[in-house]
Order: sequence, then structure tokens, then C-alpha cells
Amino acid sequence: MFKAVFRDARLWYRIVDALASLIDEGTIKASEEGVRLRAMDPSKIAMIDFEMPRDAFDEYECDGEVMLGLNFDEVKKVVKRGSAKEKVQLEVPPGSARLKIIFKGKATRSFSIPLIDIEYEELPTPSLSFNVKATAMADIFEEALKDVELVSDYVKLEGRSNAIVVKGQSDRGEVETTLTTETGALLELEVKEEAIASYSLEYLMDMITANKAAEVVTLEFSSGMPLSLTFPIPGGGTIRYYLAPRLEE
Amino acid sequence: MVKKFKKFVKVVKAKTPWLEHVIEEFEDACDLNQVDLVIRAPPGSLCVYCKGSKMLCGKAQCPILVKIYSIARVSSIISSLNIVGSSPPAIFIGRHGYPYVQAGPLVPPFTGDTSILDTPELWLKASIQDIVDFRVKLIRGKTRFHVKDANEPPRILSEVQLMAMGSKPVDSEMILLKKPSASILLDDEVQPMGPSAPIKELKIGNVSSNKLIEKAISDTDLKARDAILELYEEGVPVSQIQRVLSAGLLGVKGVRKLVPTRWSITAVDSTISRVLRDEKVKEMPEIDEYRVYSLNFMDNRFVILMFPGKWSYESIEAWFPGTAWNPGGESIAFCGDWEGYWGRTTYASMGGCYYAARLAVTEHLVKIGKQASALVLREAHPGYIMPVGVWIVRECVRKALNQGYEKSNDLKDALNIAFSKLSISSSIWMQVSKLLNHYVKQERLTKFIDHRLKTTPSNFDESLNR
Repeated sequence: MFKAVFRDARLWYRIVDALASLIDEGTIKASEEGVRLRAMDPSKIAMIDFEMPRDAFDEYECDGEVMLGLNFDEVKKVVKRGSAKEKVQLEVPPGSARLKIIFKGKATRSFSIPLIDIEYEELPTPSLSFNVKATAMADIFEEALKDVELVSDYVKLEGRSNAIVVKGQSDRGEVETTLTTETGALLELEVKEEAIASYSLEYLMDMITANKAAEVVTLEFSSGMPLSLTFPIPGGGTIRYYLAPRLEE
Repeated sequence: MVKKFKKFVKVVKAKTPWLEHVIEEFEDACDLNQVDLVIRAPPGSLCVYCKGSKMLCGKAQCPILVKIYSIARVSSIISSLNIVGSSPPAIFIGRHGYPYVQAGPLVPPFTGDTSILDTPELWLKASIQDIVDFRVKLIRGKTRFHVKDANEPPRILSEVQLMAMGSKPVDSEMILLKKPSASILLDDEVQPMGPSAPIKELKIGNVSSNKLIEKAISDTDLKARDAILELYEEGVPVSQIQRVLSAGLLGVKGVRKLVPTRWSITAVDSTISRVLRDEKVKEMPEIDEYRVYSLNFMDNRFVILMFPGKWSYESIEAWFPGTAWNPGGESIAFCGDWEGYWGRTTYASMGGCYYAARLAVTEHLVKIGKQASALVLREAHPGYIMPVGVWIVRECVRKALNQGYEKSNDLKDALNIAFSKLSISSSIWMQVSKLLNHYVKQERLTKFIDHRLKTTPSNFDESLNR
């Protein structure tokens, strides 16, 4: 038995959209504390870690652990039908292998989709230490990535003592965006040691879809190490991505 | 991509003396004078100055002459309006003017077992000359139909459809409105096409057809996509599926359409390979070594690399100066496309070759029950003077994959083996290939998180750090 009501169906769609950007199917684990999804993309280059505590829901009920094996493309299509004025209720009736998605607004609209059976693999929490940690306005970071996309397939992130530099270069040209706390692009910057690392833009552009569900993003990285992007969802919960680096030339 | 020429302005009559001058056998040259042979060269091209003698285009053989020799051989028989022969069977549906397209049968002026003339699956032993020969013997009758006429075909079209169903050569009699033009299309896109003429009348003999094909055609509730897949599963050759699809014989009743030949070839390759990929290959265990396959054919070099990992695919072609697609260039022209695990959402810019090779690759992976990341590299050298059609890619990759591979447990080794078979240097391929770039430069998260999850071979990381 699992039942949860979320206050904004549109925001819920944006969350699902962010999850679906990286994986096509996965298992959301619902427990008494809340819901969680942790999965790696098929090529094992990126990982998603989504959690939403029970407090972030208007109503929440869960007996023990309930595994929701989902095809995210299907879920996305359904959830897209919700509007910002509606609440969304997710429900797995006891003994059922279907997920009910109910939009509650002026009308009550109810969808039911089958759960799928996926082998559940408990992934460990990556224990990584990062030398650079910065919290940026998500839309400004997205623009910086889009700029780089004009010239290159990958982006170079540089953590300096006073700024984060987003760079791209190829034979097509060079692009550089500087984010600092003074201009308001960064809300926080913490640099233990200056770092520089390259990441695939293709994956980053998928991940950045999460900024529709969040306003800020926390970047964490070190030279030659994975990048972590954390998007806090307003009202509780986070979407966090990990992305393996590219080797430097 | 190489820029394409605007087509045809200069018309050179065979009666001008240059042909006799170039073709040394006197009789052959005289033969040509009987045919009203017209050669059209692209505007601004060097053909007019070269006339087949100076090799100004840089190709190893003059493509016009290759066609002329072939035409010469059938010229005496095609001077009649009445063509009696066994169609392989073959049909051709044009694409210009869509939805009003030229459609018609291809009939050679002789009877017998002609099936090889339209079965690319059998052409791997042939030379370029042979293939041009095959194609030029087929006289193409044409008349215009609306693509939707496929549902209630006028008489000639219904004969054409019947012919397309055949699995053995079909005896046919074709009456033409005028003499086949014997004109040669010097075009970079169309595969060798023989003489054509408007058709007045078509009569065909008994058609012996494959039961599976008949069943798919008579099932008017079966979608074209499903029909293609069913026929493929049953082992019907791709070229036959493509033929019935293009004749507008597949699909749900009332919405069947003629499909231009060019489109139907890619439609079949793409549909089958997509389904094999999504429903079979992605379910299979990954290979655990690097594999290198190769094949040389008609001065084309193919190398197929398979990497351990989830499905992804890239195809790259390198056209040397002097080849069909790069006639006037001074440097090698590259074109390529790729897809990740999720496949593509847009049509591959390089065209049908992408899908033809993808079919061959997915087909092979299904056969060996494995999943892999595949890279198809092709170098077209100057001996490949003109395009003979997409089949060359499908069949060469198929053959290369079937004849075995060299394996290696090390990425660097595998790349060395692969590049030793090609003449373009590894550093250039590295720049061009997304997949190689991705494999060599992109790290995996598993390296940083937990060794338990590691799936790539242990020496993978070492080779990355070279």
C-alpha cells in the first residue's frame, strides 16, 4: 500500500521529466521516510539520485517498502496531462501491480498504468570528496552550457578562488562564461583547491532539464573527478546527478 | 558532404568523332553509331574537355565509358519497341514529382534465369563492370501513377505489382511507345540505370511467388511495418521485401502507396534494424573483448570495430579524391553519423548507407546473441568510380561480419589492428569519430564509485591513460 499526494502536478511533471532525461526505466523505492530513485544510465557514465522526503508531500502513506518499477516515458506522458492548479495523487492499492495517477483539480482525473518488473540493484552512495563547491542560479548555468554547445561537444569547468569558469573550445571557436558571487550568478563558492575538469555536454544538457524543477544548482567537482549537480526542489527533496569526467588531452 | 552539381546541360552526340577515337575496337565503335546514344554531363564539369581520354575527373576509369561499353553490348537488341524477356523480377518507382511518380517494370531483352540482375545479395563476386552490365541490360518501361493508385491499380500497374510479388524470373512482354533512349545519366545519386522508355502495354506470364509474401500481401489489416518484420523473420531477402513495399503491396487496406525505390530501400533497412536493436540486441549480454572485422571490395575498405558495452553505433565514410562523391576534391571527404543507446530521432545526414550498415550490424549481433557498441568505417578509394547503390554497404558489412574477426582485450591493440587495415591515419579517425572519441576520452563512473560494479575489462583504464 502506497499513497502520496503532491501539491503541484506541473512541478511533478518537471521532476519526472528530469528523471526521464537519463534513464528510460527504473525503480522508485517508497518507504516510510519518503521516495527515492537511484540509477545509472546504461553506459555507466552518469548516475541519478532522486529523493523526496515524506514531508514534501501533502499526504503520505506507505506500509513497509514498495517498489515502483516504472517506464519513465510512459509515466511522463501521463504526468504531462497535469496542470499547476491540480494536485497529483500517486497510489498503489494493496496487492496491485498498477500505479494510479490521479489529478485533483476542478475535475478528478484518474490514470492507471502497469508497474514493470525490473531487477532492483541497490547502488551505493558515491563517496567522493570535492575541492570545488558552488551554488549557481540554474538558468545562468544553463545559458553558459548552451553557449558552449555552439562550439564544442564537451565543457571545461574551472574552479578558481573567486569564480567558476565555464569554457568550451574547438576548431570552431572558443566560448567562456565567468560566474562570480559579486554579479549574483553564484550564491555560494567554496574552493579548497583550484580545479579544472572536462565533462560531456550531451549528458549535461540532459541533466539541466532539472532546472525546470529547481531554481538553483550546486556544482561540486575536482580535477579529473566526477561532477555532481544537485538541484534542490522547492518544498523539499533533491535531484542529484553524478557525471564521470573526460580525460584531458 | 561534397557539393553536388546541378544536373545536365551539355549534350554530346555519339556521332561526334571522339568516341571512335577513344574506343579502340573499331566494331564496338561502329555499334555505337547505330544507337542514338546521348551522354549528358554535369554543367561545368570537365567531361566536355576530357571526353574520356584524359581522366581529368581523377577517376581511375571513365564512368561514361563503362556504361557505354555495356550499352554497346545490348544495343542491337533494344532497337525494337517490343521487348520480350524474363524480368528478374525487378521494378522501379521514381521519386520525382511525388506523389505522381514514374513506375514500371525492368525487363531485359532475353529470357532465362535473370534473377542475378536484381539481387544485390549475389553481387559481391562481381566487378563494377559486371554490375553496370547487369543493370544496363534491364530496359525500364515507365508511366506515371499517383502513389495511391496502388490500392486500385490501373491495368499496367496491377501487372507491375504482380511481377513484384514474384520470387522467380517472370516472362514478360513489354511494348514501348518509343525506342529506349539509351541515354546515360551521369548522376552522382542514381545507381546504374539502363535505358528507359514510356510503356504502352505490359503482359506477363505466370508468377511464382513465395507463400509468405502472398500472405503478407493479402492481409489487408497488417501494417506495412509489421509485414516487413514478419517477412524478414521468415527469411525473405531484404531486396524482395523492399520490392513488394515499393510496389505498394504492403499495409492496411486503402492506405497502401507506391514507395519510390530509393525510399523503400532505406525504409526496410531502418525499420528492421530499429526493431532488432530495441527488441533483441539491447536485451543481450555484452561482448567482453574488442573485435575487429574487415573486408575489401571494389576498392572500398570496410572495417567494423565492436567494443564491449551497451549498444551504440556509428558509421563513417571517407571518400578519396576521384571517387564518385568527391570527384573534384583535393582532400578526403568524410561523412558520418552516430547514435547512442537511445537511437536517433532525426534522419541520418549521410543517408541510406547508415541504415544499411546498421541492419547488417544488428543482424549479426542478434545472430551471435551479444550486445556491443559498433563502429563501421569505410574508405572509398579511387577505384570505386561510381556509386552502385546502398546494397554495397549492407552486403559488405554482412560479409565482413560473417567471415570472422581478430580479437583483442585491449583497446589500444584493437585500434592498432583496425587502423592497420585502413590508409587514413588513426589520429584523423579519432578526430572524426564520435564513438572513438567517447570511448577513449570518456571515463566511467564505476571507476570512481565502486569496483564491484565494474563491467569493462580491467585493462580498459590503462589503455585510456596511454
